[in-house]
Amino acid sequence: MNSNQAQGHDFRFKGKIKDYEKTLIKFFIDIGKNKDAPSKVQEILGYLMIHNKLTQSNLKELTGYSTGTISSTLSNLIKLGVVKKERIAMSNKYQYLLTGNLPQIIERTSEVSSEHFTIISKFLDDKLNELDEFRNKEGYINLHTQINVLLGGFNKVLKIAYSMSETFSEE
Amino acid sequence: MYKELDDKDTYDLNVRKIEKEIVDYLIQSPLYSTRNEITSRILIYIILRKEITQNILKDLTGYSSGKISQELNNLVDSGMIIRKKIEGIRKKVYTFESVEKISTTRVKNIITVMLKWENELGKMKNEMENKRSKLETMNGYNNIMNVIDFYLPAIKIYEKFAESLE
Repeated sequence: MNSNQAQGHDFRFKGKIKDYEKTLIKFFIDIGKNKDAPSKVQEILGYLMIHNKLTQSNLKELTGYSTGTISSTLSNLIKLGVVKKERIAMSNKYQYLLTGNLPQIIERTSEVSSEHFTIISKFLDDKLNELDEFRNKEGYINLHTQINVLLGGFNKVLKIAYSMSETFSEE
Repeated sequence: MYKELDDKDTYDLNVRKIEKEIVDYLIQSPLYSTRNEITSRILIYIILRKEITQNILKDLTGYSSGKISQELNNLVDSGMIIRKKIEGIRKKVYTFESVEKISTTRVKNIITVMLKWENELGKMKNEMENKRSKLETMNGYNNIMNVIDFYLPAIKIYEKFAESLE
């Protein structure tokens, strides 16, 4: 087996199955337009959803994107808790897979989002303190107010994310 | 209040620097790193300014007028931001209702797209089932069916969630 290939899987579909695969990728890209997600992110997610496990080399062949683009996109998706990487046995290569099914991914991204919101909130609190030095300066009041709007908004957005996660868990 | 919106940024340079640091930080955070950078940057500035003109956005972001105009039109069309005319100022200003409204609008728009695809995915599934004897021995048949079988009921769940957001 080619060590660049994800274990036990032939990722090259043909004929009518290939056509269906392309249609599904269009579906993922279309959803992505409303997530402000670039099509490269959606394509990579789509192929991982279809194939379960893929190497960077597989993804390069499927998408036509450069190694750098694929690598950085996967890295961002790993930080978001959507994708994980695992070593292919008996090789020094890695394959990538989604962290679970959709409800699990939604739950995981809610948890990860919560962690990131905490870090961002700390950063914004620090910026509020820094801003206080320029209390009498133009723009201070508005920026101070809007940073607090953002902080309040993040909390509410997190509740929405958890609520979506619960909706899926209940079904 | 609105005389400040005379299309030139009047913020003190130190305040503006802190504002930019916030925007840059959010853009590189995992929460925004998988999103279109230009759209995200414009949206964050709209939130931080509360109301802003296209020209000030151009000044803050360095993006071209054409690009900003296109992004703003998309954001207004999507319902995430609001365009309004202020009396006494010829320029339009861009604003938003709330951070959570931006988020829920985004979610509802995604679900609307999924619902549009429901038929297409259903047709694909029917076709694959009708031609099962011919197709199922082909590599990838089960992969495709698994994704469709996952999404068709998931779309119903998303639809229910969208209703709960109303």
